[in-house]
Amino acid sequence: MIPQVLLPLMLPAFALRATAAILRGPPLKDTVLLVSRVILRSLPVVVIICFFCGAMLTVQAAASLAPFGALRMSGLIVGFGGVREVFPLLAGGALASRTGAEIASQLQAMRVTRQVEALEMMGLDPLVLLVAPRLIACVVAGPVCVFAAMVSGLVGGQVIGQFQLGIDRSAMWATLLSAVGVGDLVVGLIKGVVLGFVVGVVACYEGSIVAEGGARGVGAAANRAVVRGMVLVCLSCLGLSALIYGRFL
Amino acid sequence: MTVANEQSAQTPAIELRAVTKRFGPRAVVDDVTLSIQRGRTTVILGPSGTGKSTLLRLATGLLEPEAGSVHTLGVDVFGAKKHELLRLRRRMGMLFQDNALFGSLSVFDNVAFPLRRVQRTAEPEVRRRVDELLQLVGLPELGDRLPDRLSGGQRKRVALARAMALSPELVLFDEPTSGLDPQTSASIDQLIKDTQTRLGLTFVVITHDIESAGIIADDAGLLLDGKVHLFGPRATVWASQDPRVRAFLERRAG
Repeated sequence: MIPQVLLPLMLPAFALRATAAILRGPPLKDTVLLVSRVILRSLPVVVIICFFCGAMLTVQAAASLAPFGALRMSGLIVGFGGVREVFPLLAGGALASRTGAEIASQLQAMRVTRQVEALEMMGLDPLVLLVAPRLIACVVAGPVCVFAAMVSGLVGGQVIGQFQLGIDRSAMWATLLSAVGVGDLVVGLIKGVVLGFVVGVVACYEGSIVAEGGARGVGAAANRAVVRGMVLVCLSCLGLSALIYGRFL
Repeated sequence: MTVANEQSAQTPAIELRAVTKRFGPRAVVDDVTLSIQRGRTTVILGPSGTGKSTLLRLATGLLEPEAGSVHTLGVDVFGAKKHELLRLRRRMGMLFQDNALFGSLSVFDNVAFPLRRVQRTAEPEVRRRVDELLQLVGLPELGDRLPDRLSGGQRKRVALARAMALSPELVLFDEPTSGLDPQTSASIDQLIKDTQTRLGLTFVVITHDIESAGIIADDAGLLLDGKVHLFGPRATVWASQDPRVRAFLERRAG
């Protein structure tokens, strides 16, 4: 039995072992399939959520700026806050809820039906065969989702700005894009890699640990993967923002 | 045969020395010493919850004991490095109580899995070997089916075919007839007996099914309260007048 005081170290230790497993050559075909599957399943959720979020941010920005006669500047807030913070955060959250839950429940179901033990009995390492491909899939899907979130959020802001708030189309685009630099795009993609890694590690960890048995254990693993994944996504976003943008304050 | 091979063939298939395994305060396996010989079918009997499956998991290194040592096929299971343990497991096959078939793979792909992933066998050879194994377990026509489209007995047969795929020296069976109707149980018993006779492998079977043990066992052991109560040739165990052995064999409440 592992002493209670060591439990907080379990996740970082698992992250190290999972990362080392990536270096031991996970099966290429499974990895490619999982990467495409994770991206295809997460993207629609990311795009929908961020489109509406971009629109909502624009409405709120407009409501705040209109009294000062600065309605046309609404795009700036969506550009700054959305692209730098909100859209990557939402992409990470969507990845955790869509993919994290699926990975955790899948691995936990394989564990309770002893399929993982069957792999071990064949002399195969489940970390290399099951965990590493899923972790790679999340790390690849992370930046793709964050990029899609940024584009979708900006389009949401543009659509609401142009059609609801009556801001000139080209003026809206200009203010939206004036706030976004290449650096923001690069930072967003780095955030995507980190968030993908966090979501993947938490999901694989929750799917791999010995939990309650049967269907309840599978459900609980999925639930923990989403809740803990989202909390760690928020913490990671805060940490990265403080690290990257904090030094310009 | 080299001297080393000859010596390794003479070592027991599984040897447990003073092994204890606890779950919480309870010793599920309590100071067990046991030697299982090669080339025979050994059945470990006992009521549910007496540590039979734990014993199998200790022999394969899936569980670690609190005390004692385990040697399987001549390898010190808990002194071995991870890669040595993985190599040892490739010399064994295991049929799990719930079969542990991969639900998303067809019967063919389940049986082919260890050949493709462990041995990296070329595809024509995989096809030949899987056909041969499905023939051996009497399911030559069902390669395309998914496991959930099979009956309980058919799943056991597929699990046995998969366990045999890497041509193991030692095959472990965890409750092979559990949950099957009497007729299907009898056919699985016959399959185990025929396969062992034909291939001369070491089979270790964990079961509480006395009828099944009577058919397949060369040696038998009775596990009671985490301890080996009696172990020896089947005829000796069956003839024992020990009250607890008789109570178990005659299915009387102990």
